[in-house]
Amino acid sequence: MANNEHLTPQESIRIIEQMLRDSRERLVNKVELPLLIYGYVTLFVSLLIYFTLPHIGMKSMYLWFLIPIIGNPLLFFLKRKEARSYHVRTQTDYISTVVWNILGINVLLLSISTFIVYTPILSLVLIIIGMATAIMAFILKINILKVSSIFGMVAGYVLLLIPMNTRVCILCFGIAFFLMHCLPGHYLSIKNKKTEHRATHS
Amino acid sequence: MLPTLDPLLMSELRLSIMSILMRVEEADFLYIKEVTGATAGNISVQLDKLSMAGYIEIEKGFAGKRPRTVCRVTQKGEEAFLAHFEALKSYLPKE
Repeated sequence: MANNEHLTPQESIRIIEQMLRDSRERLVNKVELPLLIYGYVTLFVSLLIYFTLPHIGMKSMYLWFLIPIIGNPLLFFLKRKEARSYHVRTQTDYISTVVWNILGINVLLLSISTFIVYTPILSLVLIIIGMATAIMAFILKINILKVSSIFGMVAGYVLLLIPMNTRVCILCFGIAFFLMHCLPGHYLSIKNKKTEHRATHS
Repeated sequence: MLPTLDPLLMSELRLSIMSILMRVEEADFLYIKEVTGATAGNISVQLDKLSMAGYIEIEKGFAGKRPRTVCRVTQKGEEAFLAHFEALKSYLPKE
């Protein structure tokens, strides 16, 4: 860009529009990575507990803590790996961090409290994570995530209200998480790659 | 009488930088360089001018071992940009 120091009002308006457009194309909302990581880790841990429960009993419930133990370092590592050469932070990034931190801490505290007082933790986790996903989906206007988050919250209430065997409940929890996070995660990943490709080659 | 335009924002690159920064909370030098396509030297000069006028704040730090210059629009910069934009609109022919 050459630096024209005497822009006309028409040229100024055109530049503002162009910069907003070019900037928007590069600000792809990168929400799919946490969705995919926590979706798959939760499914994996749910299946692990489903299969170990008959052998080691309620001790297998401690395996739930594998979700943050595996998920957090994996997310940190993959985010660093995919970090671009440049840095840009939007208001949406800030809101996303706040929402996930507040609700994530509450999920962790509720999970710990289950070892002290009985809590229908699987339903509560699905409802709370569904809420966080819904907040992000409605802010970012991502339709597939709106649908999946509502599905997750409904699944949480179903687990809460319909009595079922513990193993079946764990299996339903894992599958609900997979449908709520992994399916939209893959869809957004493909969509974002196309958008980035277009931005790079425009 | 038509409103006065901000002389600092009559420059193509300075206006571009302000337009980019108005859309985000913060952006680094490399992001501005990628979106504008301008040279590093030119961007550096214009960032200094905007910073001297109090329109942006510049934070120099490190990302790992690499130096990183992060820029943000200040309250003064935001008000100046919006006032300039409003003034620009009055110069355009009424539809």
